[in-house]
Amino acid sequence: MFNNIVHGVHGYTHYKGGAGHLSFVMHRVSGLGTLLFLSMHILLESTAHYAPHLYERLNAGLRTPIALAAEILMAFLVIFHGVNGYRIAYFDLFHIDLWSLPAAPKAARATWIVSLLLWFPAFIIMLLHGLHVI
Amino acid sequence: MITLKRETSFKPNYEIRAWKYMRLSAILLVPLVWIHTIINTLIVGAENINLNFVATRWANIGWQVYDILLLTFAFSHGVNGLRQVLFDFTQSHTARRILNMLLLLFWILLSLVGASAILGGIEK
Repeated sequence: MFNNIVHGVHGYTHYKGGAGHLSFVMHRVSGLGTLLFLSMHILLESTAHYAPHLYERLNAGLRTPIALAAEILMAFLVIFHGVNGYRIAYFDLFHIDLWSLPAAPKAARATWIVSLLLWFPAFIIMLLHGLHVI
Repeated sequence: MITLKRETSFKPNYEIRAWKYMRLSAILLVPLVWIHTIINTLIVGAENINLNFVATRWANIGWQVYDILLLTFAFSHGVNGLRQVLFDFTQSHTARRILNMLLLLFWILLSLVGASAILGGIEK
Protein backbone atom coordinates (compact mmCIF):
# COMPACT_ATOMS: atom_id res chain seq x y z
CA MET A 1 0.00 0.00 0.00
CA PHE A 2 2.88 2.35 0.82
CA ASN A 3 4.36 1.92 -2.67
CA ASN A 4 0.92 2.51 -4.18
CA ILE A 5 0.64 5.80 -2.29
CA VAL A 6 4.11 6.96 -3.41
CA HIS A 7 3.30 6.15 -7.04
CA GLY A 8 -0.17 7.62 -6.74
CA VAL A 9 0.99 10.92 -5.31
CA HIS A 10 3.73 11.09 -7.95
CA GLY A 11 0.97 10.66 -10.54
CA TYR A 12 -1.12 13.38 -8.91
CA THR A 13 1.74 15.89 -9.15
CA HIS A 14 3.28 14.84 -12.48
CA TYR A 15 0.35 13.92 -14.71
CA LYS A 16 -0.07 16.62 -17.36
CA GLY A 17 -3.84 16.65 -17.48
CA GLY A 18 -4.34 20.38 -17.35
CA ALA A 19 -7.37 22.03 -15.74
CA GLY A 20 -9.38 18.81 -15.40
CA HIS A 21 -6.58 17.00 -13.58
CA LEU A 22 -5.99 19.97 -11.29
CA SER A 23 -9.70 19.88 -10.39
CA PHE A 24 -9.51 16.14 -9.72
CA VAL A 25 -6.56 16.57 -7.34
CA MET A 26 -8.11 19.62 -5.72
CA HIS A 27 -11.45 17.81 -5.25
CA ARG A 28 -9.62 15.06 -3.36
CA VAL A 29 -7.48 17.43 -1.29
CA SER A 30 -10.48 19.63 -0.38
CA GLY A 31 -12.64 16.57 0.34
CA LEU A 32 -10.07 14.98 2.64
CA GLY A 33 -9.44 18.33 4.35
CA THR A 34 -13.17 18.84 4.83
CA LEU A 35 -13.58 15.33 6.27
CA LEU A 36 -10.71 15.94 8.70
CA PHE A 37 -12.32 19.22 9.75
CA LEU A 38 -15.78 17.62 9.98
CA SER A 39 -14.52 14.76 12.18
CA MET A 40 -12.93 17.23 14.61
CA HIS A 41 -16.01 19.48 14.39
CA ILE A 42 -18.33 16.58 15.36
CA LEU A 43 -16.12 15.68 18.34
CA LEU A 44 -15.68 19.31 19.46
CA GLU A 45 -19.39 20.17 19.25
CA SER A 46 -20.26 16.91 21.02
CA THR A 47 -18.31 18.04 24.08
CA ALA A 48 -20.97 20.76 24.47
CA HIS A 49 -23.31 17.94 25.54
CA TYR A 50 -20.88 15.51 27.16
CA ALA A 51 -18.44 17.90 28.88
CA PRO A 52 -19.65 21.53 28.78
CA HIS A 53 -16.62 22.88 30.65
CA LEU A 54 -14.26 21.23 28.20
CA TYR A 55 -16.31 22.75 25.33
CA GLU A 56 -15.83 26.26 26.68
CA ARG A 57 -12.11 25.70 27.17
CA LEU A 58 -11.62 24.26 23.68
CA ASN A 59 -13.77 26.99 22.14
CA ALA A 60 -11.72 29.71 23.84
CA GLY A 61 -8.46 27.90 23.00
CA LEU A 62 -9.31 27.87 19.29
CA ARG A 63 -9.55 31.66 19.01
CA THR A 64 -6.06 32.23 17.67
CA PRO A 65 -4.78 33.80 14.45
CA ILE A 66 -3.67 30.36 13.20
CA ALA A 67 -7.13 28.86 13.81
CA LEU A 68 -8.75 31.84 12.06
CA ALA A 69 -6.44 31.46 9.05
CA ALA A 70 -7.21 27.72 8.97
CA GLU A 71 -10.95 28.43 9.07
CA ILE A 72 -10.72 30.94 6.23
CA LEU A 73 -8.74 28.41 4.16
CA MET A 74 -11.29 25.75 5.12
CA ALA A 75 -14.04 28.01 3.76
CA PHE A 76 -12.32 28.02 0.35
CA LEU A 77 -11.94 24.23 0.38
CA VAL A 78 -15.65 23.77 1.19
CA ILE A 79 -16.76 26.31 -1.44
CA PHE A 80 -14.52 24.75 -4.09
CA HIS A 81 -15.64 21.21 -3.20
CA GLY A 82 -19.28 22.28 -3.47
CA VAL A 83 -18.97 24.18 -6.77
CA ASN A 84 -16.79 21.51 -8.34
CA GLY A 85 -19.07 18.80 -6.93
CA TYR A 86 -22.06 20.43 -8.62
CA ARG A 87 -20.14 20.48 -11.89
CA ILE A 88 -19.37 16.76 -11.56
CA ALA A 89 -22.93 15.85 -10.51
CA TYR A 90 -24.46 17.93 -13.31
CA PHE A 91 -22.18 16.45 -15.99
CA ASP A 92 -22.53 12.87 -14.73
CA LEU A 93 -26.27 12.87 -14.14
CA PHE A 94 -27.62 15.21 -16.83
CA HIS A 95 -24.99 16.06 -19.45
CA ILE A 96 -22.50 13.25 -19.89
CA ASP A 97 -21.51 14.69 -23.29
CA LEU A 98 -19.93 17.70 -21.57
CA TRP A 99 -17.05 15.48 -20.37
CA SER A 100 -15.23 16.27 -23.59
CA LEU A 101 -13.10 18.91 -25.27
CA PRO A 102 -13.40 21.84 -25.22
CA ALA A 103 -16.27 22.00 -22.68
CA ALA A 104 -14.67 20.05 -19.82
CA PRO A 105 -11.49 22.12 -19.20
CA LYS A 106 -13.48 25.33 -19.77
CA ALA A 107 -15.94 24.30 -17.06
CA ALA A 108 -13.05 23.30 -14.78
CA ARG A 109 -11.56 26.78 -15.10
CA ALA A 110 -14.97 28.40 -14.53
CA THR A 111 -15.23 26.39 -11.28
CA TRP A 112 -12.13 28.16 -9.95
CA ILE A 113 -13.48 31.59 -10.88
CA VAL A 114 -16.90 30.96 -9.30
CA SER A 115 -15.27 29.52 -6.15
CA LEU A 116 -12.91 32.48 -5.76
CA LEU A 117 -15.77 34.96 -6.31
CA LEU A 118 -17.85 33.24 -3.62
CA TRP A 119 -14.88 32.96 -1.27
CA PHE A 120 -13.81 36.59 -1.42
CA PRO A 121 -16.79 38.06 0.54
CA ALA A 122 -16.62 35.13 2.99
CA PHE A 123 -12.92 35.87 3.51
CA ILE A 124 -13.64 39.54 4.38
CA ILE A 125 -16.60 38.78 6.69
CA MET A 126 -14.74 35.98 8.50
CA LEU A 127 -11.75 38.27 8.99
CA LEU A 128 -13.98 41.02 10.44
CA HIS A 129 -15.65 38.55 12.84
CA GLY A 130 -12.29 37.01 13.66
CA LEU A 131 -10.77 40.33 14.65
CA HIS A 132 -13.33 40.51 17.50
CA VAL A 133 -12.05 37.35 19.11
CA ILE A 134 -8.30 37.08 18.51
CA MET B 1 -19.71 15.73 -34.58
CA ILE B 2 -20.06 12.15 -33.50
CA THR B 3 -22.57 11.48 -30.79
CA LEU B 4 -22.08 8.34 -28.80
CA LYS B 5 -25.11 7.13 -26.97
CA ARG B 6 -24.94 3.82 -25.24
CA GLU B 7 -27.92 2.36 -23.48
CA THR B 8 -27.11 -0.35 -21.04
CA SER B 9 -29.34 -2.16 -18.64
CA PHE B 10 -27.89 -3.97 -15.67
CA LYS B 11 -28.57 -4.39 -12.01
CA PRO B 12 -26.65 -1.71 -10.11
CA ASN B 13 -24.22 -3.19 -7.59
CA TYR B 14 -23.08 -1.58 -4.33
CA GLU B 15 -20.29 0.48 -5.92
CA ILE B 16 -22.63 1.90 -8.56
CA ARG B 17 -25.13 2.87 -5.89
CA ALA B 18 -22.32 4.45 -3.86
CA TRP B 19 -21.21 6.39 -6.98
CA LYS B 20 -24.76 7.67 -7.47
CA TYR B 21 -25.17 8.45 -3.76
CA MET B 22 -22.13 10.76 -3.87
CA ARG B 23 -23.78 12.84 -6.62
CA LEU B 24 -27.28 12.86 -5.17
CA SER B 25 -26.08 13.71 -1.66
CA ALA B 26 -23.93 16.48 -3.19
CA ILE B 27 -27.06 18.16 -4.57
CA LEU B 28 -28.49 18.20 -1.04
CA LEU B 29 -25.23 19.04 0.74
CA VAL B 30 -24.45 22.35 -0.96
CA PRO B 31 -27.58 24.08 0.45
CA LEU B 32 -27.34 22.20 3.79
CA VAL B 33 -23.67 22.99 4.43
CA TRP B 34 -23.66 26.47 2.96
CA ILE B 35 -26.74 27.63 4.91
CA HIS B 36 -25.16 26.17 8.07
CA THR B 37 -21.87 28.02 7.52
CA ILE B 38 -23.43 31.24 6.24
CA ILE B 39 -25.56 31.48 9.41
CA ASN B 40 -22.93 30.39 11.95
CA THR B 41 -19.75 31.78 10.45
CA LEU B 42 -20.84 34.85 8.50
CA ILE B 43 -24.02 36.08 10.25
CA VAL B 44 -23.63 34.96 13.88
CA GLY B 45 -19.83 34.99 13.81
CA ALA B 46 -17.14 33.33 15.92
CA GLU B 47 -17.41 35.94 18.68
CA ASN B 48 -21.03 34.93 19.44
CA ILE B 49 -20.57 31.15 19.35
CA ASN B 50 -20.47 29.76 22.89
CA LEU B 51 -22.08 27.12 25.07
CA ASN B 52 -25.22 29.23 25.50
CA PHE B 53 -25.61 29.58 21.72
CA VAL B 54 -25.29 25.83 21.20
CA ALA B 55 -27.76 25.20 24.06
CA THR B 56 -30.36 27.48 22.44
CA ARG B 57 -29.86 25.75 19.07
CA TRP B 58 -30.21 22.23 20.43
CA ALA B 59 -33.30 23.17 22.44
CA ASN B 60 -35.09 23.71 19.11
CA ILE B 61 -36.49 20.66 17.34
CA GLY B 62 -36.11 22.30 13.90
CA TRP B 63 -32.36 22.91 14.37
CA GLN B 64 -31.95 19.43 15.85
CA VAL B 65 -33.50 17.91 12.72
CA TYR B 66 -31.34 20.20 10.55
CA ASP B 67 -28.14 19.22 12.37
CA ILE B 68 -29.01 15.51 12.25
CA LEU B 69 -29.58 15.76 8.46
CA LEU B 70 -26.28 17.61 8.09
CA LEU B 71 -24.43 15.03 10.17
CA THR B 72 -25.99 12.10 8.31
CA PHE B 73 -25.43 13.32 4.77
CA ALA B 74 -22.13 15.20 5.18
CA PHE B 75 -20.38 12.54 7.22
CA SER B 76 -21.56 9.59 5.09
CA HIS B 77 -20.54 11.48 1.92
CA GLY B 78 -17.16 12.23 3.50
CA VAL B 79 -16.40 8.73 4.77
CA ASN B 80 -17.43 7.19 1.45
CA GLY B 81 -15.21 9.73 -0.32
CA LEU B 82 -12.28 8.69 1.89
CA ARG B 83 -13.12 5.06 1.03
CA GLN B 84 -12.93 5.84 -2.69
CA VAL B 85 -9.56 7.58 -2.29
CA LEU B 86 -8.14 4.73 -0.17
CA PHE B 87 -9.43 2.09 -2.60
CA ASP B 88 -7.45 3.78 -5.38
CA PHE B 89 -4.32 2.85 -3.43
CA THR B 90 -5.44 -0.63 -2.38
CA GLN B 91 -5.71 -3.60 -4.72
CA SER B 92 -6.00 -6.61 -2.46
CA HIS B 93 -9.45 -7.89 -1.60
CA THR B 94 -8.47 -8.48 2.05
CA ALA B 95 -7.09 -4.97 2.52
CA ARG B 96 -10.27 -3.50 1.02
CA ARG B 97 -12.41 -5.57 3.36
CA ILE B 98 -10.41 -4.43 6.38
CA LEU B 99 -10.65 -0.81 5.22
CA ASN B 100 -14.40 -1.19 4.72
CA MET B 101 -14.84 -2.48 8.26
CA LEU B 102 -12.62 0.18 9.84
CA LEU B 103 -14.37 2.98 7.95
CA LEU B 104 -17.82 1.60 8.82
CA LEU B 105 -16.82 1.48 12.48
CA PHE B 106 -15.42 5.03 12.35
CA TRP B 107 -18.59 6.27 10.63
CA ILE B 108 -20.99 4.59 13.08
CA LEU B 109 -18.99 5.66 16.14
CA LEU B 110 -18.72 9.36 15.27
CA SER B 111 -22.30 9.48 14.00
CA LEU B 112 -23.55 8.09 17.31
CA VAL B 113 -21.42 10.52 19.32
CA GLY B 114 -22.68 13.49 17.25
CA ALA B 115 -26.33 12.44 17.04
CA SER B 116 -26.57 11.71 20.77
CA ALA B 117 -25.09 15.14 21.54
CA ILE B 118 -27.52 16.91 19.18
CA LEU B 119 -30.56 15.05 20.56
CA GLY B 120 -29.33 15.19 24.17
CA GLY B 121 -28.86 18.95 24.05
CA ILE B 122 -27.39 20.97 26.89
CA GLU B 123 -28.85 21.31 30.36
CA LYS B 124 -28.89 24.91 31.49
